[in-house]
Amino acid sequence: MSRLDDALREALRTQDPGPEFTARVLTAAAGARGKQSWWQLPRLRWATAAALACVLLAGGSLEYRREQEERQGRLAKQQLVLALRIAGSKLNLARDRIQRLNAGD
Amino acid sequence: MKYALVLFFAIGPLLAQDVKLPAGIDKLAGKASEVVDVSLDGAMLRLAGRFLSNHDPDEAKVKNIVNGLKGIYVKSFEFEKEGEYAPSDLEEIRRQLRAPGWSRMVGVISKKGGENTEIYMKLDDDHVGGLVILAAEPKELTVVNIVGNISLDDLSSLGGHFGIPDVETGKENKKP
Repeated sequence: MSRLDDALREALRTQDPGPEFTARVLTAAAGARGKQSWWQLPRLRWATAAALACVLLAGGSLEYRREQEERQGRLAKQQLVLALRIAGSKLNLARDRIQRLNAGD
Repeated sequence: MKYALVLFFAIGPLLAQDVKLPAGIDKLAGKASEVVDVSLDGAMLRLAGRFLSNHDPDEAKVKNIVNGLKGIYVKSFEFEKEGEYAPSDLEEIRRQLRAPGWSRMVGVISKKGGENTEIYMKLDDDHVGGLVILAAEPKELTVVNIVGNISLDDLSSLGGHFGIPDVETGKENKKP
């Protein structure tokens, strides 16, 4: 019995794992902290939000410019048609007068 | 006069310009009951051209014409009564049109009705550099300045398009 007791005591004896084990545990713990989700990092979170805001702002600005350009383009087209209409009518007028004069020859 | 008409439309497609409308003519806007002021430079014409469809035959034709243009400037004044403008108001423009290269293709002066129409063209090398139309009626004054390569045939081809009056050039009408 005492031999068994001795064997158990020997087997369950507290042992110092040594400095290497401590170092390995600390390294593993640091590694686990490094693997946390990027979203959990405050700086990255703000940077992402800022980048998203920039993209939205740039998109909005481009859309606004596109609308402005389209409005200007449609106005220019209307003016172009009006100008050609006036030019055409004045040419027509000149033609009519020349024809009237020719008819009077 | 028959020959004038033939000459007008025969030489038309060959002609060019860069006439500046005098600032003084804008003063007439104060007396006019209706004013049309169109000012489209090359950039605006290109922008307008982008909104003309290639699929619509009418718009495609206009687009093709606009491609050769550098500017279109129109000032048209309509007055309530006669005598609101002086013939000399157009003198500054006529002076510019006496420069070399310019030709007065048509000049219809009606002393009785007071309706005068003058059409000037400028030839740059062998192509048209522009067209100026001065149309003076008792109650209306119109100045059209088209800068760039345009022919009367081009303009006449727009006849009926967008409500633009048909302009006969003395040539056979190709439209069915």
